[in-house]
Formats: sequence, structure tokens, C-alpha cells
Amino acid sequence: MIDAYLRELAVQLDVPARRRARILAEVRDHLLESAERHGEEGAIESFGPPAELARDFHLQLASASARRSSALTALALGGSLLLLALIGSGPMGDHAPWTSAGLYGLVSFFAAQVALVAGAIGMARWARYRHEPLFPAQRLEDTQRANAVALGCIQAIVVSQGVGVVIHAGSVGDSGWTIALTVTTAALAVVTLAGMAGLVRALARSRPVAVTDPERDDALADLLAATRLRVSLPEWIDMRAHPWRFCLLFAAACGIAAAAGHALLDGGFDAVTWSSVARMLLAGLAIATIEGAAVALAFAGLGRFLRIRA
Amino acid sequence: MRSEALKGHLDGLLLAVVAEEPAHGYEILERLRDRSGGAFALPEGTVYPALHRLEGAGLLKSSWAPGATRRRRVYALTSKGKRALGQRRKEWRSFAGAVEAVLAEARA
Repeated sequence: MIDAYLRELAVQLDVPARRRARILAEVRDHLLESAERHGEEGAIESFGPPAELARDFHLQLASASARRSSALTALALGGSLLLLALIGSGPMGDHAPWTSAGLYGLVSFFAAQVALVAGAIGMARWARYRHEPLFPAQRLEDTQRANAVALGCIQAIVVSQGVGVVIHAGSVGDSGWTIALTVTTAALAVVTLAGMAGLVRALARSRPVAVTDPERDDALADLLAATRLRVSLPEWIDMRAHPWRFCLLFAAACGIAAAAGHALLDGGFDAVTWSSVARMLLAGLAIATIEGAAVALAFAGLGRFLRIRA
Repeated sequence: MRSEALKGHLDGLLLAVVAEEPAHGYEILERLRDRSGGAFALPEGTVYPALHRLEGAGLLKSSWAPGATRRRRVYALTSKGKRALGQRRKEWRSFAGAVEAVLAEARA
């Protein structure tokens, strides 16, 4: 009976071979010891069904993988922000690839924002469950989706900035800065690839986890739990009740921030003259509209995938 | 005690039992049962994922040790595990004290 139980458990366990061998050896030892006191049938009954034990192990491995994947994603996100800051502060200044209107600059600009939001969603989930022994099974897939979007965008930044640096570095003349930039870009590429490998592993670990418990909260609750600590949104822009209203307000705020940032880069209020006001307002309106439209499009395209809207 | 209520405290209970003396899985369960006077009864298999998780978190370490008839996987507390156990004891005393105060008030 014990051998049959162990054969059934071996079939149910979808874990690495070495881990499986250890689990089976420990379970065999336990059942033999228990059988000496209670008989084989009693030992197996007290131990519990193999499917439940396998599920517990699957969830444990999936939780650990999800946490590692989130940590790597956070590291890659920090590295990408460092890379963009390094480029912006370097000799290229305003002509840095990410501030230019070239394709690689636009890719970096929007990819960085999407990566920041997706990364924040992943980190909010990590923060909410960091003190619990296991990640809730219902939230594993949501977390990995957020990490996948963040890592994909960071990889787009790495590639676009890498192309930009290769094209423009020759005109800079500061070899020390060029070397620092090349090393940082390469390091970020390695971290991002490691993050993607970790994510693939996390997805494989969560595949055998069956979600059998009822939904604890919806996916949005994780994000709101993280922000509710400091921000209490009024009901009329509640994300759950009015997602599009919230999105449009958020998009407008991003647009205004982008326009203001651009104005500051252009010299701020010192550069304002009566003749330039109209031009600046038009430029600001154009930037705000483009940024706001991009935010709304991203919400439409990714909102359901990231489980931040129904 | 209902197994769902026990699951939330299982980690601390396992650390406390192992702190006594290193032990293998069956012995850990026996100590848990004896020290609780039989109150803690959960499917025996549930202890192994918890032991593996505590080991992964660095709170326990384990190794194969020869037994009388077969070799066993023996778990011992690490120094990080000792600190975690101390923290859990403090948290439990605080929680139990608060619950007792409320229930005592309700009875009065």
C-alpha cells in the first residue's frame, strides 16, 4: 500500500527530479515509521491524499519562483531608470537618444512609462503578500503578467538605447562616459535576460498549481491596498466602479506632467516671452494630447491583461 | 483545533518544536501532538511542504542522518530561525494578550 501511495505521489509531483527524489524518500520514511504503530492503512489515512500534498509543494515552489521573478523585475526596472538618467546626464544632454524624436527615443519614452506602471503593479502585489508564507494561487498569474510586461518594456529600452548609443557615441568624444554607458547597457541586458529566464521558470512552476480556493479579493484590491495606505480616492473616480473615468483623469495628469517637463527642459519660465507664449501653449497641448492618448491606449490594451480593469 | 486555524501558526509551531532538539518529520509531528495534548491534529503530510519552505527561507537546515533501520532527513534550527522564533513568540504573546483582554471584557 505504501509503495502504491508513493507511486501515485511520484506521478502527481511536477517538481525538479532531485526535489522529487528527496520528497519521496522523506514521505517513505514517514509512512514506514507511522505504519509500525498504526498499520499501513492507518499511516496512509493520517498522511493525507497524495494530490493535496503535491498541490502544497507546487504552490510552495510557485510562490518562491514568483517572488524571485518580482525581485529580478524590480532590479531590472531600477537599472533601466539608472540607464536613462545616465544617458540624460551625460555629454549628449538634450541630444541623448531618449530625448530625441527619433524612433528609439520614442520607444524608450513610452516603454519606460509602461514598465514603471507594470513594475509598480508587480511590486504592489509582492508588498501585499510579502509577510504571508505563500503567494495566493489566484494571484500568481497576475503577478507574472505584470512582470512579463515590465521586462518586455525594459528589454525594448535596452535595445532602443543600445542602438541610439551605437549610432551617436562616435560624436560624443568622451570615451569614459561611453564606456560607462556601454557597461551599464550590457549589465541591464543581462539582468533583464535573467529576469525573463526567472519569469519562464516561475510560469512553469505555477502551471501545476490548481486554483481551488475561492477568490480572496479581485486583482485590483492588491493595488488599492498598497495605495490606500496613503491615498483615499473619492468614489467618483474609484478605479473599480469607474475605470475609464479614472483612466482619463490619470491620462490628463500624465499629459500635463509631460508638457510641464518638456517646458522645464526648454528653459522653464525664464524662457517665456510674450511672443513665445502661444507657441509654448500649442507645443504643450500637443505633448499633453500625445501623452494622454498613449496612456489611454495602454490602459485599453493592457488594462485587462494586467487585471486592473474588468 | 480546526486545521485551517492551525495553518496560520504552523511555521512558528514547527520552529518551536525543532528548537528543542533537531528531529526528522515524524518526530516533529509527534512532539507537536504531545506538547499540545493532542489538540493539534492535521494531515501529517502538510508538515513537509512547511519544513521545506522554512528551509528555503533559511530558518531551518537539514541533512540525511543514519537511523536504526533507514536514513532520515533531520531538521535543525539555524541562527536566523532562532531569531524568527523569538519574534513569533513576541507577536503571539501580544496577540494572545489582546484577545484575552477583549474576551475577558466581553465576559464581564
